[in-house]
Amino acid sequence: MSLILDHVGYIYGKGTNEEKRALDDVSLEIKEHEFIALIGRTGSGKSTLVQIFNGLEQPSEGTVYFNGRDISDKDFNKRELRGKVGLVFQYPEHQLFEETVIKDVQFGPGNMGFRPLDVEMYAFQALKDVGIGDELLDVSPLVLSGGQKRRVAIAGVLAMQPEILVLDEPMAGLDPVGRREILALLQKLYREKGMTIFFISHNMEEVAEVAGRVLVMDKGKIVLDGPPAKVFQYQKELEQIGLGVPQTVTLAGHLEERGWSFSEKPVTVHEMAAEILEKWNGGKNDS
Amino acid sequence: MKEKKGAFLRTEGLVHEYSRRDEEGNVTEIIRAVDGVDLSVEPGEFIAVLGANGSGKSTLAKHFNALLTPTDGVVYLDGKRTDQEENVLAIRQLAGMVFQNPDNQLVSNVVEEDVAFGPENLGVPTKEIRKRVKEGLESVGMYAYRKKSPNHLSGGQKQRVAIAGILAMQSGCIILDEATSMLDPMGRKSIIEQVLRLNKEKKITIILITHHMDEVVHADKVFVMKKGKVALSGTPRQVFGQAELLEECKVTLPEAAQIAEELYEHGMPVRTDILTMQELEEELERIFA
Repeated sequence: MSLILDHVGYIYGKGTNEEKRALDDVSLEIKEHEFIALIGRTGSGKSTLVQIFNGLEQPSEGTVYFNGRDISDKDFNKRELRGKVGLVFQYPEHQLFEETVIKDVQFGPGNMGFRPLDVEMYAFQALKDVGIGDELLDVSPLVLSGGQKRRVAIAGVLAMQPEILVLDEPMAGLDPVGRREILALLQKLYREKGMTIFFISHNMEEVAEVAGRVLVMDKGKIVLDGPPAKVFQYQKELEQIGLGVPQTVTLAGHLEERGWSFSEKPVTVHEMAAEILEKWNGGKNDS
Repeated sequence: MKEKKGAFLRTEGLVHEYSRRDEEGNVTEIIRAVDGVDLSVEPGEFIAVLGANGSGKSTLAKHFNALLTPTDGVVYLDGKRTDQEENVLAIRQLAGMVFQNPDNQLVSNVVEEDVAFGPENLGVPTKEIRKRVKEGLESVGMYAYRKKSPNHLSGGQKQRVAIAGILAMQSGCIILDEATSMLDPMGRKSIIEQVLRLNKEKKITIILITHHMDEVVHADKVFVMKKGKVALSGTPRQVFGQAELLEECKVTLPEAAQIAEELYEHGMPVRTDILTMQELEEELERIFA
Protein backbone atom coordinates (compact mmCIF):
# COMPACT_ATOMS: atom_id res chain seq x y z
CA MET A 1 0.00 0.00 0.00
CA SER A 2 1.26 3.43 -0.81
CA LEU A 3 -0.69 6.67 -0.95
CA ILE A 4 1.05 9.80 -2.16
CA LEU A 5 -0.31 13.33 -2.36
CA ASP A 6 1.81 15.56 -4.55
CA HIS A 7 1.21 19.32 -4.13
CA VAL A 8 -2.50 18.83 -3.59
CA GLY A 9 -4.77 21.85 -3.26
CA TYR A 10 -8.52 22.04 -2.86
CA ILE A 11 -10.86 24.98 -3.27
CA TYR A 12 -14.53 24.80 -2.32
CA GLY A 13 -17.13 26.55 -4.44
CA LYS A 14 -14.58 27.54 -7.08
CA GLY A 15 -15.80 30.48 -9.11
CA THR A 16 -18.58 31.37 -6.67
CA ASN A 17 -18.56 34.06 -3.99
CA GLU A 18 -18.34 31.30 -1.37
CA GLU A 19 -14.90 30.31 -2.64
CA LYS A 20 -12.77 28.91 0.14
CA ARG A 21 -9.40 27.23 0.11
CA ALA A 22 -9.51 24.04 2.16
CA LEU A 23 -6.16 22.48 1.20
CA ASP A 24 -3.02 24.37 0.32
CA ASP A 25 -0.08 22.59 -1.34
CA VAL A 26 -0.22 19.36 0.67
CA SER A 27 2.49 16.82 -0.10
CA LEU A 28 2.34 13.62 1.88
CA GLU A 29 3.39 10.02 1.64
CA ILE A 30 1.63 7.26 3.57
CA LYS A 31 3.54 4.00 3.59
CA GLU A 32 2.49 0.44 4.22
CA HIS A 33 1.74 -0.38 7.88
CA GLU A 34 1.85 3.10 9.34
CA PHE A 35 -0.38 4.20 12.23
CA ILE A 36 -1.01 7.90 11.63
CA ALA A 37 -3.06 10.47 13.54
CA LEU A 38 -4.13 13.77 11.98
CA ILE A 39 -4.85 16.69 14.29
CA GLY A 40 -5.96 20.23 13.53
CA ARG A 41 -8.60 22.78 14.47
CA THR A 42 -12.15 22.43 13.21
CA GLY A 43 -12.22 23.77 9.67
CA SER A 44 -8.46 23.29 9.10
CA GLY A 45 -9.07 20.93 6.17
CA LYS A 46 -8.80 17.53 7.84
CA SER A 47 -12.06 16.05 6.57
CA THR A 48 -11.41 17.37 3.06
CA LEU A 49 -7.98 15.75 3.08
CA VAL A 50 -9.31 12.29 3.91
CA GLN A 51 -12.03 12.59 1.28
CA ILE A 52 -9.32 13.26 -1.27
CA PHE A 53 -7.66 9.98 -0.25
CA ASN A 54 -10.40 7.78 -1.68
CA GLY A 55 -11.39 9.96 -4.61
CA LEU A 56 -14.62 11.21 -3.03
CA GLU A 57 -13.32 14.75 -3.65
CA GLN A 58 -11.16 15.64 -6.65
CA PRO A 59 -8.21 17.87 -5.86
CA SER A 60 -8.31 21.31 -7.52
CA GLU A 61 -4.52 21.16 -7.83
CA GLY A 62 -1.88 18.45 -7.67
CA THR A 63 -1.98 14.68 -8.00
CA VAL A 64 -2.89 11.70 -5.83
CA TYR A 65 -1.12 8.39 -6.42
CA PHE A 66 -2.46 5.13 -5.01
CA ASN A 67 0.01 2.24 -5.26
CA GLY A 68 1.97 4.26 -7.76
CA ARG A 69 -0.90 5.14 -10.09
CA ASP A 70 -2.49 8.54 -10.63
CA ILE A 71 -6.07 8.14 -9.42
CA SER A 72 -7.38 10.77 -11.84
CA ASP A 73 -6.37 8.61 -14.83
CA LYS A 74 -9.32 7.75 -17.02
CA ASP A 75 -8.74 4.00 -16.80
CA PHE A 76 -8.20 4.04 -13.03
CA ASN A 77 -10.87 2.00 -11.27
CA LYS A 78 -12.58 4.47 -8.92
CA ARG A 79 -14.87 1.89 -7.39
CA GLU A 80 -11.94 -0.30 -6.47
CA LEU A 81 -10.26 2.71 -4.87
CA ARG A 82 -13.27 3.30 -2.62
CA GLY A 83 -12.82 -0.23 -1.36
CA LYS A 84 -9.04 -0.18 -1.02
CA VAL A 85 -9.05 3.13 0.83
CA GLY A 86 -11.73 2.42 3.43
CA LEU A 87 -13.16 5.68 4.73
CA VAL A 88 -15.16 5.74 7.97
CA PHE A 89 -17.06 9.03 8.27
CA GLN A 90 -17.84 11.06 11.39
CA TYR A 91 -20.68 9.43 13.32
CA PRO A 92 -20.80 6.57 10.77
CA GLU A 93 -23.57 4.85 12.72
CA HIS A 94 -25.99 7.47 11.39
CA GLN A 95 -25.65 5.73 8.06
CA LEU A 96 -26.69 2.27 9.23
CA PHE A 97 -29.89 1.54 7.40
CA GLU A 98 -30.40 -2.18 6.76
CA GLU A 99 -32.78 -4.35 8.78
CA THR A 100 -30.05 -6.48 10.28
CA VAL A 101 -26.45 -6.06 11.32
CA ILE A 102 -25.15 -8.64 8.87
CA LYS A 103 -27.03 -7.11 5.92
CA ASP A 104 -25.65 -3.71 6.75
CA VAL A 105 -22.09 -4.99 6.79
CA GLN A 106 -22.63 -6.85 3.49
CA PHE A 107 -23.82 -3.74 1.73
CA GLY A 108 -20.36 -2.25 1.02
CA PRO A 109 -18.63 -5.42 -0.23
CA GLY A 110 -21.83 -6.27 -2.15
CA ASN A 111 -21.26 -3.14 -4.19
CA MET A 112 -17.64 -3.98 -4.87
CA GLY A 113 -18.42 -6.78 -7.29
CA PHE A 114 -17.11 -9.56 -5.04
CA ARG A 115 -18.63 -13.05 -5.39
CA PRO A 116 -21.66 -13.53 -3.09
CA LEU A 117 -19.84 -16.17 -1.04
CA ASP A 118 -16.92 -13.81 -0.52
CA VAL A 119 -19.27 -10.98 0.45
CA GLU A 120 -20.68 -13.19 3.20
CA MET A 121 -17.30 -14.35 4.37
CA TYR A 122 -15.83 -10.84 4.42
CA ALA A 123 -18.82 -9.54 6.40
CA PHE A 124 -18.63 -12.32 8.99
CA GLN A 125 -14.89 -11.84 9.38
CA ALA A 126 -15.20 -8.05 9.70
CA LEU A 127 -17.84 -8.37 12.42
CA LYS A 128 -15.64 -10.85 14.22
CA ASP A 129 -12.68 -8.46 13.95
CA VAL A 130 -14.62 -5.59 15.51
CA GLY A 131 -15.87 -7.82 18.33
CA ILE A 132 -19.55 -8.11 17.40
CA GLY A 133 -20.75 -11.55 18.49
CA ASP A 134 -22.81 -13.99 16.39
CA GLU A 135 -25.89 -13.39 18.56
CA LEU A 136 -26.10 -9.83 17.16
CA LEU A 137 -25.85 -10.68 13.45
CA ASP A 138 -29.57 -10.81 12.83
CA VAL A 139 -30.75 -8.03 15.11
CA SER A 140 -31.60 -4.54 13.90
CA PRO A 141 -28.63 -2.13 14.16
CA LEU A 142 -31.02 0.25 15.91
CA VAL A 143 -31.11 -1.79 19.11
CA LEU A 144 -27.33 -1.76 19.57
CA SER A 145 -25.49 0.54 21.97
CA GLY A 146 -23.64 3.58 20.61
CA GLY A 147 -20.27 1.84 20.76
CA GLN A 148 -21.63 -1.30 19.11
CA LYS A 149 -23.24 0.69 16.28
CA ARG A 150 -19.96 2.46 15.65
CA ARG A 151 -18.14 -0.88 15.46
CA VAL A 152 -20.73 -2.28 13.04
CA ALA A 153 -20.25 0.77 10.83
CA ILE A 154 -16.48 0.21 10.89
CA ALA A 155 -17.06 -3.47 10.04
CA GLY A 156 -19.01 -2.34 6.97
CA VAL A 157 -15.88 -0.61 5.71
CA LEU A 158 -13.51 -3.41 6.76
CA ALA A 159 -15.62 -5.91 4.85
CA MET A 160 -14.62 -4.15 1.62
CA GLN A 161 -11.07 -5.43 2.28
CA PRO A 162 -9.35 -2.05 2.42
CA GLU A 163 -5.56 -1.78 2.36
CA ILE A 164 -5.74 1.37 4.44
CA LEU A 165 -8.43 2.28 6.97
CA VAL A 166 -9.12 6.02 7.23
CA LEU A 167 -11.33 7.22 10.08
CA ASP A 168 -12.71 10.73 10.62
CA GLU A 169 -12.94 11.24 14.41
CA PRO A 170 -13.73 7.61 15.16
CA MET A 171 -13.98 8.18 18.93
CA ALA A 172 -16.15 11.34 18.89
CA GLY A 173 -19.19 11.17 21.11
CA LEU A 174 -18.31 7.84 22.73
CA ASP A 175 -17.94 7.35 26.47
CA PRO A 176 -14.47 6.59 27.84
CA VAL A 177 -15.06 2.84 27.67
CA GLY A 178 -16.37 3.07 24.10
CA ARG A 179 -13.33 5.17 23.17
CA ARG A 180 -11.00 2.56 24.65
CA GLU A 181 -12.76 -0.16 22.66
CA ILE A 182 -12.31 1.68 19.37
CA LEU A 183 -8.67 2.51 20.17
CA ALA A 184 -8.02 -1.14 21.04
CA LEU A 185 -9.69 -2.17 17.79
CA LEU A 186 -7.47 0.14 15.74
CA GLN A 187 -4.40 -1.18 17.54
CA LYS A 188 -5.49 -4.75 16.87
CA LEU A 189 -6.08 -4.11 13.15
CA TYR A 190 -2.67 -2.46 12.97
CA ARG A 191 -0.78 -5.14 14.88
CA GLU A 192 -2.54 -8.37 14.01
CA LYS A 193 -3.85 -7.65 10.52
CA GLY A 194 -0.94 -5.47 9.52
CA MET A 195 -3.30 -2.74 8.32
CA THR A 196 -2.35 0.85 7.65
CA ILE A 197 -4.42 3.12 9.91
CA PHE A 198 -5.05 6.84 9.48
CA PHE A 199 -7.37 8.61 11.92
CA ILE A 200 -8.45 12.15 12.77
CA SER A 201 -8.70 13.03 16.44
CA HIS A 202 -9.07 15.98 18.80
CA ASN A 203 -7.85 14.04 21.78
CA MET A 204 -4.11 14.63 22.15
CA GLU A 205 -3.77 12.04 24.91
CA GLU A 206 -5.21 9.30 22.70
CA VAL A 207 -3.09 10.38 19.74
CA ALA A 208 0.03 10.22 21.90
CA GLU A 209 -0.90 6.79 23.15
CA VAL A 210 -1.48 4.94 19.90
CA ALA A 211 -0.09 6.77 16.87
CA GLY A 212 3.35 6.15 15.45
CA ARG A 213 3.22 9.36 13.43
CA VAL A 214 1.28 12.60 13.94
CA LEU A 215 0.37 15.09 11.23
CA VAL A 216 -0.69 18.59 12.24
CA MET A 217 -2.89 20.65 9.90
CA ASP A 218 -3.39 24.37 10.00
CA LYS A 219 -5.24 26.42 7.41
CA GLY A 220 -5.08 23.66 4.83
CA LYS A 221 -1.37 22.96 5.23
CA ILE A 222 0.52 20.22 7.02
CA VAL A 223 2.73 22.13 9.43
CA LEU A 224 4.20 19.37 11.60
CA ASP A 225 4.89 15.71 10.85
CA GLY A 226 6.67 13.23 13.12
CA PRO A 227 6.35 10.76 16.00
CA PRO A 228 4.15 12.00 18.88
CA ALA A 229 7.06 12.22 21.31
CA LYS A 230 8.67 14.73 18.91
CA VAL A 231 5.62 16.62 17.61
CA PHE A 232 4.22 17.30 21.09
CA GLN A 233 7.46 18.97 22.19
CA TYR A 234 6.30 21.93 20.04
CA GLN A 235 3.87 23.13 22.68
CA LYS A 236 4.14 26.83 21.87
CA GLU A 237 3.69 26.32 18.14
CA LEU A 238 0.74 23.97 18.64
CA GLU A 239 -0.98 26.40 20.99
CA GLN A 240 -0.41 29.25 18.55
CA ILE A 241 -2.45 27.44 15.92
CA GLY A 242 -5.18 26.71 18.44
CA LEU A 243 -4.23 23.15 19.30
CA GLY A 244 -3.01 21.68 22.53
CA VAL A 245 -0.61 19.08 23.81
CA PRO A 246 -1.26 16.12 26.10
CA GLN A 247 -1.77 17.38 29.65
CA THR A 248 1.40 15.58 30.73
CA VAL A 249 3.49 17.82 28.46
CA THR A 250 2.05 20.91 30.14
CA LEU A 251 2.74 19.42 33.55
CA ALA A 252 6.31 18.59 32.53
CA GLY A 253 6.78 22.19 31.36
CA HIS A 254 5.65 23.50 34.74
CA LEU A 255 7.92 21.06 36.54
CA GLU A 256 10.86 22.22 34.39
CA GLU A 257 10.20 25.73 35.62
CA ARG A 258 10.56 24.30 39.10
CA GLY A 259 13.96 22.87 38.23
CA TRP A 260 13.09 19.39 36.96
CA SER A 261 14.61 18.21 33.73
CA PHE A 262 13.25 15.90 31.06
CA SER A 263 15.19 14.72 28.03
CA GLU A 264 11.82 14.69 26.24
CA LYS A 265 8.55 15.72 27.86
CA PRO A 266 6.38 12.62 28.51
CA VAL A 267 3.32 12.43 26.24
CA THR A 268 1.31 9.71 28.03
CA VAL A 269 0.14 9.07 31.59
CA HIS A 270 2.37 5.99 31.87
CA GLU A 271 5.45 7.80 30.60
CA MET A 272 4.81 10.64 33.05
CA ALA A 273 4.34 8.28 36.00
CA ALA A 274 7.47 6.37 34.98
CA GLU A 275 9.54 9.59 34.86
CA ILE A 276 8.32 10.69 38.29
CA LEU A 277 8.93 7.25 39.79
CA GLU A 278 12.43 7.17 38.35
CA LYS A 279 13.19 10.49 40.03
CA TRP A 280 11.64 9.24 43.24
CA ASN A 281 13.60 5.98 43.27
CA GLY A 282 16.79 7.68 42.10
CA GLY A 283 16.44 10.19 44.90
CA LYS A 284 16.03 7.40 47.42
CA ASN A 285 19.15 5.60 46.21
CA ASP A 286 21.20 8.77 46.45
CA SER A 287 20.40 9.30 50.08
CA MET B 1 -32.28 15.95 52.57
CA LYS B 2 -31.80 19.39 51.13
CA GLU B 3 -34.61 21.93 51.38
CA LYS B 4 -36.30 21.56 48.02
CA LYS B 5 -38.37 24.69 47.92
CA GLY B 6 -35.71 26.92 46.42
CA ALA B 7 -34.56 24.35 43.89
CA PHE B 8 -34.37 25.61 40.31
CA LEU B 9 -34.76 22.16 38.90
CA ARG B 10 -36.19 19.19 40.72
CA THR B 11 -37.13 15.70 39.66
CA GLU B 12 -39.20 13.37 41.83
CA GLY B 13 -39.26 9.67 41.02
CA LEU B 14 -38.65 10.46 37.35
CA VAL B 15 -39.17 7.48 35.06
CA HIS B 16 -38.89 7.47 31.29
CA GLU B 17 -39.80 4.47 29.20
CA TYR B 18 -39.38 4.05 25.47
CA SER B 19 -41.42 1.41 23.76
CA ARG B 20 -40.38 -0.45 20.68
CA ARG B 21 -43.08 -1.46 18.27
CA ASP B 22 -43.28 -3.99 15.46
CA GLU B 23 -44.66 -3.19 12.00
CA GLU B 24 -48.24 -3.53 13.17
CA GLY B 25 -47.70 -1.06 15.97
CA ASN B 26 -47.75 -3.60 18.78
CA VAL B 27 -45.38 -2.87 21.63
CA THR B 28 -42.63 -5.49 21.55
CA GLU B 29 -40.35 -4.17 24.24
CA ILE B 30 -40.30 -1.47 26.87
CA ILE B 31 -36.98 0.13 27.73
CA ARG B 32 -36.66 2.07 30.95
CA ALA B 33 -34.09 4.73 30.05
CA VAL B 34 -34.57 6.72 33.25
CA ASP B 35 -35.50 4.70 36.29
CA GLY B 36 -36.55 6.62 39.37
CA VAL B 37 -34.33 9.72 39.49
CA ASP B 38 -34.66 12.20 42.35
CA LEU B 39 -32.39 15.19 42.07
CA SER B 40 -32.42 18.87 42.69
CA VAL B 41 -30.36 21.73 41.27
CA GLU B 42 -30.11 25.09 42.96
CA PRO B 43 -30.28 28.31 40.94
CA GLY B 44 -26.84 29.28 39.63
CA GLU B 45 -25.27 25.88 40.17
CA PHE B 46 -22.86 24.24 37.76
CA ILE B 47 -23.89 20.62 37.43
CA ALA B 48 -22.11 17.86 35.53
CA VAL B 49 -23.75 14.61 34.49
CA LEU B 50 -21.51 11.65 33.67
CA GLY B 51 -22.21 8.09 32.63
CA ALA B 52 -21.64 5.57 29.86
CA ASN B 53 -23.43 5.81 26.50
CA GLY B 54 -26.89 4.44 27.08
CA SER B 55 -26.89 5.17 30.83
CA GLY B 56 -29.84 7.53 30.40
CA LYS B 57 -28.12 10.88 30.74
CA SER B 58 -29.36 12.36 27.46
CA THR B 59 -32.89 11.16 28.12
CA LEU B 60 -32.70 12.68 31.59
CA ALA B 61 -31.50 16.01 30.15
CA LYS B 62 -34.36 16.15 27.66
CA HIS B 63 -36.75 16.20 30.63
CA PHE B 64 -35.11 19.33 32.00
CA ASN B 65 -36.54 21.54 29.26
CA ALA B 66 -39.70 19.60 28.55
CA LEU B 67 -38.52 17.97 25.31
CA LEU B 68 -39.74 14.77 26.96
CA THR B 69 -42.40 14.35 29.59
CA PRO B 70 -42.22 11.75 32.35
CA THR B 71 -43.70 8.28 32.03
CA ASP B 72 -43.91 8.48 35.79
CA GLY B 73 -42.85 11.02 38.39
CA VAL B 74 -42.61 14.80 38.11
CA VAL B 75 -40.09 17.37 36.89
CA TYR B 76 -40.25 20.99 38.04
CA LEU B 77 -38.28 23.75 36.42
CA ASP B 78 -38.46 26.99 38.35
CA GLY B 79 -41.54 25.60 40.09
CA LYS B 80 -43.31 24.77 36.80
CA ARG B 81 -44.31 21.19 36.04
CA THR B 82 -42.91 20.09 32.67
CA ASP B 83 -45.88 17.83 31.92
CA GLN B 84 -48.33 20.71 31.77
CA GLU B 85 -48.71 21.97 28.21
CA GLU B 86 -49.19 25.61 29.26
CA ASN B 87 -45.76 25.62 30.95
CA VAL B 88 -43.76 24.30 28.03
CA LEU B 89 -43.00 27.60 26.30
CA ALA B 90 -41.92 29.28 29.54
CA ILE B 91 -39.71 26.30 30.39
CA ARG B 92 -37.99 26.30 26.98
CA GLN B 93 -37.31 30.02 27.36
CA LEU B 94 -35.79 29.37 30.76
CA ALA B 95 -33.63 26.43 29.75
CA GLY B 96 -31.82 26.30 26.41
CA MET B 97 -30.32 23.09 25.18
CA VAL B 98 -27.37 22.36 22.87
CA PHE B 99 -27.25 18.88 21.42
CA GLN B 100 -24.41 16.58 20.48
CA ASN B 101 -25.29 16.52 16.81
CA PRO B 102 -25.60 20.08 15.49
CA ASP B 103 -27.24 18.87 12.28
CA ASN B 104 -30.40 18.30 14.32
CA GLN B 105 -30.33 21.84 15.57
CA LEU B 106 -29.41 24.23 12.76
CA VAL B 107 -32.54 25.38 10.97
CA SER B 108 -31.55 28.26 8.73
CA ASN B 109 -29.53 28.66 5.53
CA VAL B 110 -27.45 31.50 6.91
CA VAL B 111 -25.39 31.30 10.08
CA GLU B 112 -26.53 34.63 11.56
CA GLU B 113 -30.18 33.86 10.88
CA ASP B 114 -29.76 30.61 12.68
CA VAL B 115 -28.37 32.32 15.75
CA ALA B 116 -31.19 34.88 15.61
CA PHE B 117 -33.84 32.17 15.44
CA GLY B 118 -34.03 31.56 19.20
CA PRO B 119 -34.27 35.18 20.37
CA GLU B 120 -36.71 35.97 17.53
CA ASN B 121 -39.05 33.30 18.85
CA LEU B 122 -38.77 34.86 22.29
CA GLY B 123 -39.96 38.19 20.87
CA VAL B 124 -36.69 40.03 21.49
CA PRO B 125 -36.57 43.44 19.70
CA THR B 126 -34.64 43.43 16.40
CA LYS B 127 -31.91 45.80 17.53
CA GLU B 128 -31.24 43.70 20.60
CA ILE B 129 -31.21 40.54 18.47
CA ARG B 130 -28.49 41.99 16.23
CA LYS B 131 -26.37 42.75 19.26
CA ARG B 132 -26.85 39.29 20.73
CA VAL B 133 -26.11 37.55 17.42
CA LYS B 134 -22.86 39.48 17.09
CA GLU B 135 -21.83 38.77 20.69
CA GLY B 136 -22.83 35.12 20.47
CA LEU B 137 -20.91 34.50 17.25
CA GLU B 138 -17.89 36.44 18.46
CA SER B 139 -17.71 34.48 21.68
CA VAL B 140 -17.50 31.18 19.79
CA GLY B 141 -15.12 32.59 17.17
CA MET B 142 -17.59 32.28 14.28
CA TYR B 143 -18.42 35.93 13.52
CA ALA B 144 -16.43 35.81 10.28
CA TYR B 145 -18.78 33.06 9.06
CA ARG B 146 -22.02 34.96 9.79
CA LYS B 147 -23.10 35.20 6.14
CA LYS B 148 -22.19 31.62 5.24
CA SER B 149 -24.44 28.64 4.96
CA PRO B 150 -24.19 26.16 7.85
CA ASN B 151 -24.02 23.40 5.22
CA HIS B 152 -20.53 24.51 4.29
CA LEU B 153 -19.24 24.34 7.85
CA SER B 154 -17.36 21.48 9.50
CA GLY B 155 -18.96 19.47 12.29
CA GLY B 156 -17.11 21.42 14.97
CA GLN B 157 -18.02 24.78 13.40
CA LYS B 158 -21.70 23.80 13.31
CA GLN B 159 -21.45 22.91 16.96
CA ARG B 160 -20.11 26.39 17.71
CA VAL B 161 -22.96 28.02 15.80
CA ALA B 162 -25.47 25.95 17.78
CA ILE B 163 -23.83 27.13 21.01
CA ALA B 164 -23.92 30.77 19.82
CA GLY B 165 -27.66 30.34 19.22
CA ILE B 166 -28.24 29.25 22.80
CA LEU B 167 -26.01 32.03 24.17
CA ALA B 168 -28.09 34.56 22.20
CA MET B 169 -31.24 33.39 23.94
CA GLN B 170 -29.74 34.48 27.28
CA SER B 171 -31.79 31.95 29.14
CA GLY B 172 -31.34 31.37 32.86
CA CYS B 173 -30.18 27.82 32.33
CA ILE B 174 -28.05 26.21 29.65
CA ILE B 175 -28.05 22.47 29.12
CA LEU B 176 -25.13 21.14 27.08
CA ASP B 177 -25.58 17.56 25.95
CA GLU B 178 -22.09 16.54 24.82
CA ALA B 179 -22.13 19.78 22.92
CA THR B 180 -18.35 19.99 22.57
CA SER B 181 -17.81 16.44 21.30
CA MET B 182 -16.62 17.56 17.85
CA LEU B 183 -14.54 20.56 18.90
CA ASP B 184 -10.78 20.76 18.89
CA PRO B 185 -9.11 21.19 22.30
CA MET B 186 -8.90 25.00 22.07
CA GLY B 187 -12.47 25.30 20.84
CA ARG B 188 -13.64 23.09 23.66
CA LYS B 189 -11.63 25.00 26.22
CA SER B 190 -12.95 28.37 25.08
CA ILE B 191 -16.57 27.18 25.11
CA ILE B 192 -16.16 25.72 28.59
CA GLU B 193 -14.51 28.92 29.82
CA GLN B 194 -17.36 30.95 28.32
CA VAL B 195 -19.91 28.75 30.04
CA LEU B 196 -18.05 28.97 33.36
CA ARG B 197 -17.99 32.75 33.04
CA LEU B 198 -21.75 32.89 32.45
CA ASN B 199 -22.15 30.71 35.50
CA LYS B 200 -19.90 32.87 37.72
CA GLU B 201 -20.84 36.33 36.47
CA LYS B 202 -24.47 35.98 35.46
CA LYS B 203 -25.39 33.13 37.80
CA ILE B 204 -26.67 31.11 34.85
CA THR B 205 -27.41 27.54 35.85
CA ILE B 206 -25.30 25.14 33.81
CA ILE B 207 -26.03 21.48 33.25
CA LEU B 208 -23.16 19.86 31.42
CA ILE B 209 -23.43 16.34 30.09
CA THR B 210 -19.98 15.22 29.07
CA HIS B 211 -17.38 12.50 28.71
CA HIS B 212 -14.49 14.89 29.33
CA MET B 213 -13.40 14.53 32.92
CA ASP B 214 -11.37 17.73 32.88
CA GLU B 215 -14.60 19.70 32.26
CA VAL B 216 -16.12 18.18 35.37
CA VAL B 217 -13.56 19.16 38.00
CA HIS B 218 -14.96 22.69 38.34
CA ALA B 219 -18.57 21.60 38.82
CA ASP B 220 -20.44 22.27 42.06
CA LYS B 221 -22.07 18.90 41.89
CA VAL B 222 -21.65 15.76 39.78
CA PHE B 223 -24.25 13.11 39.05
CA VAL B 224 -23.10 9.78 37.64
CA MET B 225 -25.78 7.79 35.83
CA LYS B 226 -25.87 4.02 35.48
CA LYS B 227 -28.71 2.06 33.89
CA GLY B 228 -31.14 4.94 34.28
CA LYS B 229 -30.39 5.63 37.93
CA VAL B 230 -28.15 8.12 39.68
CA ALA B 231 -25.44 5.75 40.93
CA LEU B 232 -23.23 8.38 42.49
CA SER B 233 -23.46 12.07 43.29
CA GLY B 234 -21.52 14.71 45.18
CA THR B 235 -18.71 17.19 44.66
CA PRO B 236 -16.14 16.21 42.02
CA ARG B 237 -13.70 15.21 44.76
CA GLN B 238 -16.28 13.02 46.50
CA VAL B 239 -17.29 11.38 43.23
CA PHE B 240 -13.80 10.78 41.86
CA GLY B 241 -12.82 9.32 45.23
CA GLN B 242 -15.07 6.34 44.52
CA ALA B 243 -12.81 4.57 42.05
CA GLU B 244 -14.54 1.21 42.13
CA LEU B 245 -18.06 2.56 41.75
CA LEU B 246 -16.87 4.79 38.92
CA GLU B 247 -15.42 1.83 37.09
CA GLU B 248 -18.76 0.06 37.35
CA CYS B 249 -20.33 3.17 35.80
CA LYS B 250 -17.67 3.06 33.04
CA VAL B 251 -16.35 6.48 34.00
CA THR B 252 -12.60 7.07 33.98
CA LEU B 253 -10.58 9.30 36.31
CA PRO B 254 -9.09 12.61 35.14
CA GLU B 255 -5.53 12.18 33.83
CA ALA B 256 -3.95 13.80 36.88
CA ALA B 257 -5.79 11.34 39.13
CA GLN B 258 -4.61 8.46 36.94
CA ILE B 259 -0.98 9.53 37.34
CA ALA B 260 -1.41 10.01 41.11
CA GLU B 261 -2.94 6.55 41.35
CA GLU B 262 -0.05 4.97 39.46
CA LEU B 263 2.47 6.74 41.70
CA TYR B 264 0.60 5.65 44.83
CA GLU B 265 0.51 2.04 43.66
CA HIS B 266 4.29 2.15 43.29
CA GLY B 267 4.72 3.27 46.85
CA MET B 268 5.01 7.03 46.53
CA PRO B 269 3.32 8.95 49.37
CA VAL B 270 1.02 11.05 47.12
CA ARG B 271 -2.43 12.32 48.03
CA THR B 272 -5.01 10.09 46.39
CA ASP B 273 -7.70 12.75 45.92
CA ILE B 274 -5.88 14.72 43.24
CA LEU B 275 -8.07 15.93 40.34
CA THR B 276 -6.08 18.50 38.37
CA MET B 277 -2.57 18.75 36.96
CA GLN B 278 -2.06 21.84 39.11
CA GLU B 279 -2.80 19.86 42.26
CA LEU B 280 -0.46 17.11 41.10
CA GLU B 281 2.27 19.66 40.42
CA GLU B 282 1.92 21.11 43.92
CA GLU B 283 1.91 17.65 45.45
CA LEU B 284 5.11 16.70 43.59
CA GLU B 285 6.71 19.94 44.72
CA ARG B 286 5.84 19.04 48.34
CA ILE B 287 7.16 15.49 48.05
CA PHE B 288 10.41 16.37 46.29
CA ALA B 289 11.08 19.50 48.36
